Amino acid sequence: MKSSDKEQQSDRSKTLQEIEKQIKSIDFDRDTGQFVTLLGRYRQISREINLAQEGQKPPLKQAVERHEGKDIQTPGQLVARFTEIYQQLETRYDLSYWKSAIKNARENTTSQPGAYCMPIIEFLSGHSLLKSEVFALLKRSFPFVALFRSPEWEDLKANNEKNYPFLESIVDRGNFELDLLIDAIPIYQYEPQKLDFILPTILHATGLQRNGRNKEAFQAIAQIEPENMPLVGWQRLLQILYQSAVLQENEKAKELFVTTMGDAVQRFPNDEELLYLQRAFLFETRPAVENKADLISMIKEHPLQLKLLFLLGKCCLDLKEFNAGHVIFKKLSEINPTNLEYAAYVTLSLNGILSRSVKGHAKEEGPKAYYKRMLQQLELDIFDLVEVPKEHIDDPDIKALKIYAHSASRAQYNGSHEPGDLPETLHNALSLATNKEVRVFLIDKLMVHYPNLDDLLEAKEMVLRFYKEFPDAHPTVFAMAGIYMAENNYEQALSFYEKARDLNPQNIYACQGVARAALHLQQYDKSIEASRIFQHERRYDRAGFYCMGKSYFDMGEYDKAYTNFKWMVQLIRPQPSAHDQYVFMASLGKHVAQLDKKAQKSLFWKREIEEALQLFDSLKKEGLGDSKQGRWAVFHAAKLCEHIAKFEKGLEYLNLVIDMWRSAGIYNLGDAATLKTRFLMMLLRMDEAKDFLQNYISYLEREQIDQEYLKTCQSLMAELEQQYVEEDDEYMKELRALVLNAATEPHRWRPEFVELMRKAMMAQAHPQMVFIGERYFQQYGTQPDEDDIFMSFWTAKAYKEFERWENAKPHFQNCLDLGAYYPKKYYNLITMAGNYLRNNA
Amino acid sequence: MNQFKYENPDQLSQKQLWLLATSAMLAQLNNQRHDTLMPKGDYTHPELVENIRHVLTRDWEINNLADLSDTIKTLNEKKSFTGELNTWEVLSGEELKIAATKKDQLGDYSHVMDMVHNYRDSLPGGDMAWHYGRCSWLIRMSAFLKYITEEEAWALLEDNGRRIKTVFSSWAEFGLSYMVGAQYWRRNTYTPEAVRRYTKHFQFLITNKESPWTHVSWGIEL
Repeated sequence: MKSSDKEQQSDRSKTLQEIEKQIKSIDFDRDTGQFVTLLGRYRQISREINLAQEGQKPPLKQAVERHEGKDIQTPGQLVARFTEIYQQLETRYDLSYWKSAIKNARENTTSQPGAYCMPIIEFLSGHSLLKSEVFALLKRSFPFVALFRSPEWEDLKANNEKNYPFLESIVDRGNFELDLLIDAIPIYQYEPQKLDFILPTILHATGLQRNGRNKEAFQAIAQIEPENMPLVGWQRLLQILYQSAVLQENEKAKELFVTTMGDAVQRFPNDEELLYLQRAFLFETRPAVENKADLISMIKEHPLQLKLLFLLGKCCLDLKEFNAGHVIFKKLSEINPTNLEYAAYVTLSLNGILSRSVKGHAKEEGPKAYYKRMLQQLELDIFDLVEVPKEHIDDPDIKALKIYAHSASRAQYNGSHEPGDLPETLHNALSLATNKEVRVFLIDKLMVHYPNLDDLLEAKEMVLRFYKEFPDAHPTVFAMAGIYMAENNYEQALSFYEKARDLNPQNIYACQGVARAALHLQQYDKSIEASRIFQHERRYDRAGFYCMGKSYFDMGEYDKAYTNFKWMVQLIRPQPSAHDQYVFMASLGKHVAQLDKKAQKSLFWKREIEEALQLFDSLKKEGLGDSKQGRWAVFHAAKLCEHIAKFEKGLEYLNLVIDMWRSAGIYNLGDAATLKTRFLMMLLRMDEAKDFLQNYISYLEREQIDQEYLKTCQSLMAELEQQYVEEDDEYMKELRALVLNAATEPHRWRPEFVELMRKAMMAQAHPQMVFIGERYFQQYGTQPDEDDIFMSFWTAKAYKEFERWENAKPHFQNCLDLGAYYPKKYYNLITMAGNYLRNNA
Repeated sequence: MNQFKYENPDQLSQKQLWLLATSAMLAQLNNQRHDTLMPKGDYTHPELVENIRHVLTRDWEINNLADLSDTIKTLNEKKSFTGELNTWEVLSGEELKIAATKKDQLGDYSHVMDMVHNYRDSLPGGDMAWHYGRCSWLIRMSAFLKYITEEEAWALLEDNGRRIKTVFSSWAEFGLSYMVGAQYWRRNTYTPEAVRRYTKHFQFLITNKESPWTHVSWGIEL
């Protein structure tokens, strides 16, 4: 440990001791708040000390390479080695020994791996008290899966002599409950024989308890001698007794509980679970007043015991000391915010407070007691406020709150307010109120009426005034964050939203603010983290999904972006904005474009694209053409159609987007021109493709723009002319019919494609061969078949005739890949494909 | 916040109000009345009908009485967290504490172990309120959509109510069980945010004068 770390630890320990002293000396009834605060502080510092000590622990043992003394060559030798390892606890629970033995066997064996399975099973039948990691290792190393599927194994299980079903289960899935026991028990304090009695005894008791045989379970565990009983055993015994004594009110169990607990706490005097059970038992059997005193004294000795604190809270409720209970449960809920029982008790104690008279407190606190109560009520939307005695009726804060309550009640229940009334009322109330808590409350309610950033900006002067008055109050800080956001001052906005979030973690919109501001500042990790929290709370709010999606989009993680945008557009269907539709389509389009060709053609992405396009079609398109992003959304949809061979649909999108561009005075079509041409070619509408492309080339030449793209178009035109086939060409007619038929009955028409290719190949109709091949693979590419070798080879050959090696190569490669699975029928073609690839490498 | 005062405009009996109150957690989420069989009392609108129909179809696949019957049966028999509790509550506190830390081995299932550790001693009814409570709400919505008559709705509510009475002994207990059911349903996002709305609704129902739970005593005979 560094000396500075040592000093820090020493300081912490001193602080801890100091706090411990204060806890022990404090009067709980007089200073409940302070008592609970000190417990929280004690907990925090203890954790800091533990964390620092964790950091000083020696690193985990590296995987040790063990060396076996001699070669293991047979199953019998391996089992003998396993038996040795099992005998000592230090080796039994050290995975490296098992790994080493198995590695040795695999390297030196003279037997098949399968020959090891049954001997290992036989070994395990008497030696099964192992951790799951060993079973997992055995399963990985030997073909147990095959054994368990064999008829011989089924016969053995049917006889069930050696508990084969159990053995199969632990080899297949491990034994999680045994793992827990091994972790919970200080196993190295025991001799192997003693441990080998304790572990199965407790496991057996578990089974009995699950079958409702608690008495037998108790008796089973009680067979373990008290001096050997691990903590887990005592806890189990006492749990069984507690249930019987308290829940079933069994008198014998009550007596037994007391004696057994006595034995247990003698051995484990500081265990939280035992202390809790002990106090919980007394809680049910002793007056609350006695319990309270006892619990306070116990907690002072054991300040980390949350469960005892919980019992103390319950005691306070029983004694109708609701304020004390509330303080306790609030602290517990803060420490363990996922424990809903704590949250429930916070509410129950608050309910208790609200049901009590204020008069008692008013003697000490004056009118403050009343408006404290009023604030508690108003926080819960209870507008029927506590009655105030005459002497306090003119108190300005009380008046302010009453004015607000009256107005808010009308607004909520009768809807009889004019929209402007409540804010005006709040201003009036604020003009009266003087107490800080009351003013902050009213400001918070007022800010609700400025929900949009523009609203806040208009009220900037007022917000600044409030912020100056209360710079550390959540409502004013949150409002300031909104002002900065509206002014596009994202750095300040982020800083203020983060502060607002710290001041009130319950305001989920502070989180949303962090997400938005961070997104603007390109702090994507922060935006994603805040968005995730917002999404948990607001599953149906666009904002959380937008911020997360956009962050991923900007980082180029388009698949994650797409997941978020897909949900987002469904939330705001039927009319997401042009921008939203754009990011939805673009994220999918960009992601698919990044995938390799094989993945692009997979069934998964085919379905995903179809689903996305269906969703896109269901969205309203009004106004889409008016925005650049809207138009790009349609273009991306068109591009996606290419991946799923839906050329007609793609053409529809392209025609739509081209119309949109032209309406916007844009005639430079960019990639849309070549895409449309290709779609027309795939649809065998060659004349149309040629006309369209020629017109576009003329436009580019005339306007002298985008000369790079002109070259691309000219190259495509050359390809088109090379592959040009008359539309009434007999092969094209047949191919068109096949494509139509295959759309409804793909399997039936598959061989016909092969036959058509054969005919074209015999006639050396190379352009037609290209079309036939490409349409075939568009249709059947995701379902490989032996005849694909034939189709790939001749498609590749046709491309080769046109000196388009870049198109030929993947088809020749496909021949080789499929040849590994279907080597016989097209052996010659596979060989020739290999030759072509080698010669052109 | 619920925008409806508790007024009992249809002059329902205490028993009927009690039965309606068993749907309160979900009715509160949907900002619906707690004192009428229909979600918004006399008020109806095509958009409201469509919204509720959409929810019942999309989330529950309920389009008619037969579907409702199947769903009620499923909810009554579903074990969810109660099943987990029955399996794991036999372990000692020490084992459960260790299990809750085994994220590597258990993944998100470690959250379930944490829940068992938290609630083992405090949920005699498991999370059955989550199923029964939603059942009550579905019955109300089915009546609103006229998949069932009002008479049938009251009969089904009473059936459901009897089951609730055998298991729970107070609104607080019922509410806690409902919240735990929700937490288990969202166990893969085991955070305070994931259950915040439920704790807010619980708070309203326990403390607010417009809540059915403050108007109708749990002890009403069915």
